Amino acid sequence: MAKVWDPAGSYDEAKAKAALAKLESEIEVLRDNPGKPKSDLKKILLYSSAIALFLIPSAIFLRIPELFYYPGLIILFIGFYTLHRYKVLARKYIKLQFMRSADWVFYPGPEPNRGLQMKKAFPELFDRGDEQYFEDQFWGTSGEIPLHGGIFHHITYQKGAKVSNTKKVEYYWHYAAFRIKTKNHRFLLSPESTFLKLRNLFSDKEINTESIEFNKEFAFSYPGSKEEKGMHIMKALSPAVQLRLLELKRKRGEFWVLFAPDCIIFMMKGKLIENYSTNLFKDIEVSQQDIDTVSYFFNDLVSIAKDIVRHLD
Amino acid sequence: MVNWLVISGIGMVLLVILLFNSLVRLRNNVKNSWSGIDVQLKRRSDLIPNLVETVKGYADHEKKLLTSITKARTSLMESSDKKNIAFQDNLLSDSLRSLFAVAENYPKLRADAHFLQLQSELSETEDQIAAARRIYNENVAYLNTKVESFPTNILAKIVGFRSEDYYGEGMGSGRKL
Repeated sequence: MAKVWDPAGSYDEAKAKAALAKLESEIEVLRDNPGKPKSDLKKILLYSSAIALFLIPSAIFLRIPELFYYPGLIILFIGFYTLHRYKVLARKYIKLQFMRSADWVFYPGPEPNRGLQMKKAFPELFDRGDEQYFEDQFWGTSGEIPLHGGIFHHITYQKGAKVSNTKKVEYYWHYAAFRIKTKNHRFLLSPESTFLKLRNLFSDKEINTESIEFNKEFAFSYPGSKEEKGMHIMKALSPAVQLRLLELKRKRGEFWVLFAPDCIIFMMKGKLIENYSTNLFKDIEVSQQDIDTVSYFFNDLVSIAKDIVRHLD
Repeated sequence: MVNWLVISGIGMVLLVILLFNSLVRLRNNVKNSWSGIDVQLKRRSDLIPNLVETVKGYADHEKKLLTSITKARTSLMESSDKKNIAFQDNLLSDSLRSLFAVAENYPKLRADAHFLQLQSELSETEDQIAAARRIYNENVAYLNTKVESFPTNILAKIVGFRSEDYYGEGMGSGRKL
C-alpha cells in the first residue's frame, strides 16, 4: 500500500490498524465457529422461554404484571441488540472484503476526534448538527488518484418546550474525496431547492453555466464576491464536468460536491450500504452480490470523479 | 365587470412579460452555449500548429494529411455561420483521427513527450467539444419546445423568435481521438 493521502491531513495509522485488527478478530471468531450467531439467538430464545415459563404463572398468580413486563423488556432488548450487532458486523464485513480487493486501507468503526478535524477543514460539508462522527473510513488510490471516504454521521438535538422533550435526530451520509493536482477555488455545489427553482423561473441566478439543465439542478455557494469567484467557478465547471455531474445526479439522486483547493469531495445521503443479502445467521461468507453492489457503486463514482479530476487537472 | 376586465388585462400583460422573458432567457442560453463550443474550438485550433510541427519532424511523408489538417483548421477559423462551422469541425476531427491513427506507424513519434502531451490535450479538448455540443443541443431543444408550443408560439411569432438548428445534425458526435 502506497503512502496514504488524507484530505484533512490526519490519518492515524495506528488507530486504523487497531480497529481493523479488532474487526478481523471478530470475523475470525465467527469463522472458527460459524454457528455462533444462530446459537446466540437460540440461547436468548431458550433463556427467555424459561424465564417466561416461570414468570407468566407467577405474574398471573401474584397479580403483579411488572414481574413479567420488565424481564420481558430486557430480554427483548438483548434479542434486538444481538440481531443489530450481527447486522452491523455483516455490513462491515462486506466493506472489509471490498477494501481488501481494492487494496485500500480500511478503518472500521468510529474514529474519535475526526469530526472536529473534518469540520474544521471542510465546514461547508461537515459543519452540520450538534455532534459529528466519522466511521468506516477508507483511504486508497484509483488509477493514481488518491482518494478517501467513509460514513459521516451527525446528531441534531431538536429542543422542545421542556428539556425532557428534546429530540435526538440522527443523519447518515457517505462521502468520497479525490485529490487533484491543480489548485481549485473553493466552492460548494448543492442541489437546488424547490423554492429557488421557482424563483429561477422569474430571474437569473447569480452564476449561470451554459447548461439549462445544470442550472436547474444545482446551486452554488462560495466565499467572496461573484466577480471574484464567478470566472474560476465557470472554469472549473467546464462542459464535460457539467455533463458528468448531471449524469451522477441522474444515477444517484441528490448530492453535494465541494471543490476545495486540493481535492473534490462528493457527499450523498444514506449509509452507503443500505440493503444487503449477506446474512451471518445463515452463512458466514459475504454474498458476492453485496460485494458487486459496493464495487459497482465505487467504480461508477470513481469513474465519474476521475473524469472530473482529469478535466480539472 | 370593469374591475374584472382590468384584472384580466393586468394578468394578460404579466403573462406576456413572463413568457417573453422566458424566451429571451432561453435564447441567451443558446447563445451562451454556442460561445462554449466556440471557446473549445479555438482551443483546439491553437493546439494544431504545434501538433503539425511536431509530426513533421518525424513523419515528413504524411505531407498530404498534414496539409489537409492545416486547411481544415483555416477553413474552420474562417467560417462564420453555424452550419459551416459544424461541417468544418467534423472534417477537422476526422483528419485529426487519421493523423493519430497514422502516428501508430512511427514509434519515435509515439515516444515523443511533446507529441503525447499534445495528443492528451487534444483528446481532452475533443471531450470538451463533445460536451459543449451536447449542452448546446439540449438548450436548443428547450428553446424550440418553447417556441413551438402554445401559447408561447403566438408570442414568438409576433416578436420574431425562431427555432434554432441543432449543432451538426447527423455529423460527428465527439468520437475519441
